[in-house]
Amino acid sequence: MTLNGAAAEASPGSDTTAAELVRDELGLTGTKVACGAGVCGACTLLVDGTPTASCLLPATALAGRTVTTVEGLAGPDGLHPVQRAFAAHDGMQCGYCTPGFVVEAAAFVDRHRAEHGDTRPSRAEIADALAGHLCRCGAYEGIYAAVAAACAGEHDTESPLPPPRAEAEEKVTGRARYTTDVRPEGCWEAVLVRSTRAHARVAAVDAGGAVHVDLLGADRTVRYVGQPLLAVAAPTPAEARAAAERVAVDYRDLPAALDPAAAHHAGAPVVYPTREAQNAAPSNNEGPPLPGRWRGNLRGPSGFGWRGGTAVRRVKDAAKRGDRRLVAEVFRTGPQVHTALEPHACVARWDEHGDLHLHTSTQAVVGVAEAAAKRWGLPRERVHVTAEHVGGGFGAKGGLRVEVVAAAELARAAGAPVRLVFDRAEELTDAGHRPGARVELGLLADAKGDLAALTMDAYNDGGMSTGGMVATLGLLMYGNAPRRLRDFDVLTNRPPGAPFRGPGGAQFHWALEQGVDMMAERLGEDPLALRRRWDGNRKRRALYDWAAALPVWAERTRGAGTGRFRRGVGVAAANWIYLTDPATVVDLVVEDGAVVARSAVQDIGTGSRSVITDVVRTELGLPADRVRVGVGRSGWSYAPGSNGSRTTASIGPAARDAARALREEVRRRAPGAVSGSGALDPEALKSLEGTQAGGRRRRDRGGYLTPVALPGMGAPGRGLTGAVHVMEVEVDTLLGQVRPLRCWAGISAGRMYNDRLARNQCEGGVVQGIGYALYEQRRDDPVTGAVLTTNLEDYRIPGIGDTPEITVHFHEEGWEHVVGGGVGIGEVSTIGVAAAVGNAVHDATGWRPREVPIRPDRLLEGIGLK
Amino acid sequence: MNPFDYRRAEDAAGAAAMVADNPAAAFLGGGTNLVDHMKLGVAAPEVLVDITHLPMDEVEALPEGGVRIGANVRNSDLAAHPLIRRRYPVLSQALLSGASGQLRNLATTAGNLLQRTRCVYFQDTSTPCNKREPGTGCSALEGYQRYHAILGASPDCVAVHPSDMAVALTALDAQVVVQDAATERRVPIARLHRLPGEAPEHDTVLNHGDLITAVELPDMPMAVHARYRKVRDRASFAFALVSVAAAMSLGADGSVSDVRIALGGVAHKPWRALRAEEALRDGPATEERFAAAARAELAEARPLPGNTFKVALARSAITATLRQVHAEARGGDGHGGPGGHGEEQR
Ligand SMILES: Cc1cc2nc3c(=O)[nH]c(=O)nc-3n(C[C@H](O)[C@H](O)[C@H](O)COP(=O)(O)OP(=O)(O)OC[C@H]3O[C@@H](n4cnc5c(N)ncnc54)[C@H](O)[C@@H]3O)c2cc1C
Ligand code: SF4
Ligand code: FES
Ligand code: FES
Repeated sequence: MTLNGAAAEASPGSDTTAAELVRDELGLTGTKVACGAGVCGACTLLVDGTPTASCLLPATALAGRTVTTVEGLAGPDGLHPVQRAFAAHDGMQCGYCTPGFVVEAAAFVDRHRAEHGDTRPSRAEIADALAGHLCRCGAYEGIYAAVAAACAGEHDTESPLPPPRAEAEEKVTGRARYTTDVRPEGCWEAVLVRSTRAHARVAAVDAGGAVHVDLLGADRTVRYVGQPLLAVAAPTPAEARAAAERVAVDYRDLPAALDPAAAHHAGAPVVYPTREAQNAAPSNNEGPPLPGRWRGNLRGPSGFGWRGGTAVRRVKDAAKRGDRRLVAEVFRTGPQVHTALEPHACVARWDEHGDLHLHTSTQAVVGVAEAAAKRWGLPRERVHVTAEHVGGGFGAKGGLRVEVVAAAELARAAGAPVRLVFDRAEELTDAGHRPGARVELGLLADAKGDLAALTMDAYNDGGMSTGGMVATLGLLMYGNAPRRLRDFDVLTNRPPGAPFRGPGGAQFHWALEQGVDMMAERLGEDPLALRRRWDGNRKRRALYDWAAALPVWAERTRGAGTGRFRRGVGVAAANWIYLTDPATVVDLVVEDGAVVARSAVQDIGTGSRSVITDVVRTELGLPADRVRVGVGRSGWSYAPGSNGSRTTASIGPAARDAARALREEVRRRAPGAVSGSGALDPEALKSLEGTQAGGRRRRDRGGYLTPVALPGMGAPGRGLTGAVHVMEVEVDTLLGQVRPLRCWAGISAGRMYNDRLARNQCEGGVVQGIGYALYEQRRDDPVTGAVLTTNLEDYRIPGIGDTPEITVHFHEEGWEHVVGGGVGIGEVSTIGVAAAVGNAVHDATGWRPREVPIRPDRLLEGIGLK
Repeated sequence: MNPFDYRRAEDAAGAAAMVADNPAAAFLGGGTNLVDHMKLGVAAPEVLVDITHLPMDEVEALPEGGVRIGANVRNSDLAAHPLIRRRYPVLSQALLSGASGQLRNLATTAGNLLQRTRCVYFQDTSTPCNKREPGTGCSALEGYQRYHAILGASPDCVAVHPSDMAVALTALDAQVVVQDAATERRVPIARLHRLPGEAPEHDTVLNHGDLITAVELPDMPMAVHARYRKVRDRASFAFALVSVAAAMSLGADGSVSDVRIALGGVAHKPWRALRAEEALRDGPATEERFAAAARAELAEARPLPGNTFKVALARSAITATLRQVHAEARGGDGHGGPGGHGEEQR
């Protein structure tokens, strides 16, 4: 075949797909395999110029064809215009989907320009062309902009400006290397053997002579279908799969609790019968679990609030007298799966000194190094964790997970590097999920319309994991009226949850923010005005005022519409905490005439590289090519994991501190190299080789909410971030479909370190929230407990055509007490979105959705289709 | 995926013979369904006979007025073909509503017709399934049923046929041209796929080794106004919950002189809605009669506990599509009609 313009020879086995040939045999790892089933588009190649899903194409079919991969898109004059456009418009976050999008978009743009000249295609045309591609980060707004601009001929030459994202070029060319692309010489492949039973004691496991590691806990019990029992390794993937098939497991079946609605009833099979087993239950949250009593499969309540007795009494009395100012409602959500496009993966190797080397797709480089050091009894500096690029995380890639443990153990046993990569079915079953919840809400207003009481009981469905924290988040919203907030875990024999972008937040806001809307209706008050009144916080009031002034809100028609297609507008507010990690350090050194920053921080698509790059460039007045940033190695200076909205708020100030320290160091050595404005003379850097400085994350003014940083959490800062989402939808009342048309996202989280990247993240938050509201639903078999949605076609994340037009507004004031002036936005930008959709659907139809996803059948039933 | 022998046939009859002679052989079209099944372990052919280079890749007008579509024509090329877009737009619409660009570029006409059900249990080799392993039982009966049949199912299998294209072809009265090692024959599309009965392992009436070489569309003037409508859970690609292909012609007095209706997502085969057609033909084209026709078709529906909503959804979809094709047939723009508000496909 002709590959990227040159003749190429290969003799693949008949069982090889084109994607495997290109990646594994020809080493062109830009092409990604994220689903292996034709759904996601990450593997798209041009075959004779036509975009083709290479994961379902036998490699033999490439014989005699002309094949172009992402690596071959660039021409003699540099990158393809589409690649430049994706970089310039930041049509990416983690970048794992980017090669597929870029290859498809290149074909579309070339065709469009040939047929229509340099004109801008419509959003619908772009959506059609890219309908076969999924981006879990939700970078669709940037992708729309990039494709339109490339069609219009705006990127035919190199841009003089650096792209907003530091590593954009690596991502659009396929050069960015992810853990799944790492395959050292002599690397063995590992496969996890997983339980086929929902609940069983494992009497014996026969590994059939394979190199293996046992992964069962002390009580030799499996508690869900898909639980890893054992991992085997062999020199090739096919041999490893065969070895896994030979493993024989002797199960002694136990009755299983599969239905979260019935698991806490008397007589239900108990998931954790002993205290030890209970204590060993995994957590689906960050930080230490809240205390809670166990009764069978019910754990809790962990109670919070203030004047809880008063709140309960007021709600009860109001119910008795039938008070219209009481909203008492039950809301439901199901498990939502993170679905990062790069699966969980680890490549482990022990070197001749007994050091452990781990390449892993993680959102906690240092966390993995520390936990691995502890587990294998090594000093921390002898564990070397690398995560150069990470294809999304969303909370599911923290800590020392099974892929790391298994790969490292197997590497030791095999005496060779071992690679373990989840397939999509494993990823959709056992990589964690946002637990479902049944939320009982009580919201009471007094005669003046002020909040008189808030009660919330949340029954959290995290499978066999504990740690649900939904109702507890009631501490963050709407002033200090009396409230009782209780969280329960309902345990079942289903896979464990994991923290997911604002743990508990999406469930909580789905209930509360629809409840507040119902209250507004009862009080006959504008829903924004009510929130503004109840909230009281100055920063967030600015957001309410902004939202109230939006034409879509100010000019909306009140009351449910008529006719088949009905439009509605909904609003929802959200608050979140932010953390910082005062131990964060960024180191700078002058190397080869450039300032080089190094930090252990991972970049999971949220832009930590770019934050450091921007801060250093701006602070030192250097051009783009004089600042380089390395991230994602545990040996570099300490940085926290990417969760709890703390990465940016930690590394940004540390980078600034480091830049200032470096300037002082330069001034000391070569006073002439620093200009009056504090900029460094780029030419002088050559003679300053080796000059170094480190910077720390200093304390915020006023300190933190807690006197010391919490273990594994960092320090919660003062002040809550806030979001107000305004969503416009169109409901087809005949066929039950909800189409989000436009969304405005107002965010208060201080100054944005990098405006474009911050917007991108907020846009992605909207997309994920829409997925939660309308499509995403993990389904489990009611009889066996097995997850049924094991591919991306059955587990439905939003595509580009499902994305509304999104406008992001930042209210930056009010964060002057924070060093650097800005905090994280990852969580607050997504957790309220689903409630805004729910409120919009209600506005359109008069029907109140109480359960996500708002599927066509639920909607039709709700609005009374006969 | 298990290794297999990869072969290329010289001609259609030779290909048919190669497969017919070996129970473990299969034709390879675009591979988008078969390779997926091989990866999942649902299919494990030992020999794949690649037929994509055989000269069956033309779309041509037939002398009697119809159109002949070669079995190897790619879904994307078929959807874009001027003859199809002009004379059978419903087929283009159906194709474009399915899968995604980079799959349609691979998928062939014959492969699309013969793609197998997306029933999750069929695709999961660890669960019982009569279609995959006859006699093991049907997991869907007690399991997840949202995407399963409401018409024509049997206690042995409640799966649905997933093809959008086939629904349009059914409304168009297509003929499927089949070649075996010795002869060529034509099978009307409505008789190609089977109901499950007691043998759900057979999707179609074809024998092992029968090669589809072409699909022929009859001349059908009213097809110019035919429309395809697909209801799904997500705007981006997803298989149909329910879909409808319909065509209508009107007499001089505005009454329905002829009509074709086919449904997808409701049965083991693309479902020709003969009862609804019957109820409509030779009578006025009114909203009430559209609804009555939809009711007549679904009177026999036997939904499962997990998909009762599909009955009403199918009724709504039929009515809406009839309204739309009626407006088209009247020479309207499809935006008027009883609903008032825009009726365009979304
Ligand atoms: C992610 C995804 C989403 C999809 N969404 C949709 C959708 O929304 N709507 C829809 O309709 N379809 C959808 N599809 C299915 C897609 O349309 C089919 O996979 C495709 O049409 C099959 O064509 P193929 O040529 O690749 O068939 P192959 O996979 O090559 O073959 C399918 C079967 O047909 C047999 N076969 C092939 N050619 C012949 C022949 N000439 N004669 C006899 N037997 C033959 C093969 O042996 C095999 O059994 C989707 C597929 C995927 C992967
Ligand atoms: S419905 Fe048919 S395909 Fe699905 S499990 Fe039952 S027998 Fe198998
Ligand atoms: S990997 Fe091929 S489409 Fe997802
Ligand atoms: S950038 Fe698209 S999946 Fe992350």
